[in-house]
Amino acid sequence: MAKKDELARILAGCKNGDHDCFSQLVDLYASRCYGYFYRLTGNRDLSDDLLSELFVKLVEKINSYRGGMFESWLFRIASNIFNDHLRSKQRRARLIEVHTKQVEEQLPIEPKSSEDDKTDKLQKHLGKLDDDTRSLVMLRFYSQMTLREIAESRSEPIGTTLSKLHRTLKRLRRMME
Amino acid sequence: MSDEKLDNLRDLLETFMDPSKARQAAEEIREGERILRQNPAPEPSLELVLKIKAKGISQLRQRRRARIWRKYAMEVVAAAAVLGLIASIGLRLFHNGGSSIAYIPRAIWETYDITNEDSNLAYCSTEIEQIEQQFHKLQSPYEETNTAYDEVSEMEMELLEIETEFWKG
Repeated sequence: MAKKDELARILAGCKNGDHDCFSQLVDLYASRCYGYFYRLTGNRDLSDDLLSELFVKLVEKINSYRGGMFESWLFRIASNIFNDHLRSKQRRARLIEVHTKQVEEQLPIEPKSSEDDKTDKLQKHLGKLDDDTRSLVMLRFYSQMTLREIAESRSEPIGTTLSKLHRTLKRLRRMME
Repeated sequence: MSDEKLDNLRDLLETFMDPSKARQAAEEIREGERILRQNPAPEPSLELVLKIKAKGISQLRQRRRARIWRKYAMEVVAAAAVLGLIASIGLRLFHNGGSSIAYIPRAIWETYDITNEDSNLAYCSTEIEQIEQQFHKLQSPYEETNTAYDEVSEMEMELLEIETEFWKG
């Protein structure tokens, strides 16, 4: 209850433009939201950008928050940011695809020295899942939203959400064993 | 996941499958989530967190400044509207002849014949005029009459009569 009151005080402060309250809010949620973005993208730089964008949006929209579970509200924004990123990535991919073959023919292929080597086992397996189901699992895990809320935010029946979550986590467990 | 949430999940699953399968599915979900907990994602760097805070604070400052300007602009607009209203009323007041008579029906101000407005007053006015004439006659030093006393009595009676009628309305 005290935690809830404290959060209400911080949010009220943010609405009034209080700097300290905003800093406290960042301290409270930066880690969780970063984890959410990282598990979805598997890329630290990209997660940095998405997290920054999330807090920019948070400041812009904080006055439209009208109570209810703050985590749900915050992760809805986070989920929208990730979906926007996916859409723009798909657009870029289509543009790049046209020239990729030409570039590959002209340049020697260097060994990949990306973050892949550094990423943990879980991240590698998560990368094998499609964006939609990975997004569902991460939203459930990091946002602590109820399944009803998640189903509502994804505009799908709760049975579908539940079934996807069950199947994906079962598969993930098998992959990790 | 807390036990309470697990129970809710089991309840929810039971609406779609039989209790034993629901229990098994809930366990599998719980296991999957345990794996996620055992493999925490990396933390954001301190530099990133500080950058986010700085950016957010700057945004909040801008928003506050914009709010102050908006409030100031609204006050200026409101003051201008009040001044405009006062000016327009002033212009209308002093446009025709420079007096407020324009707002009061002309007929009222131009009517000096009050007797037209009140028939009782008209009657009284006539009576007073007659009495005045009779007084003049009485007070005249060159006009000696024997009936002076009778005239005064008669006048007194008339005055009494007028007074009574006047107060009766």
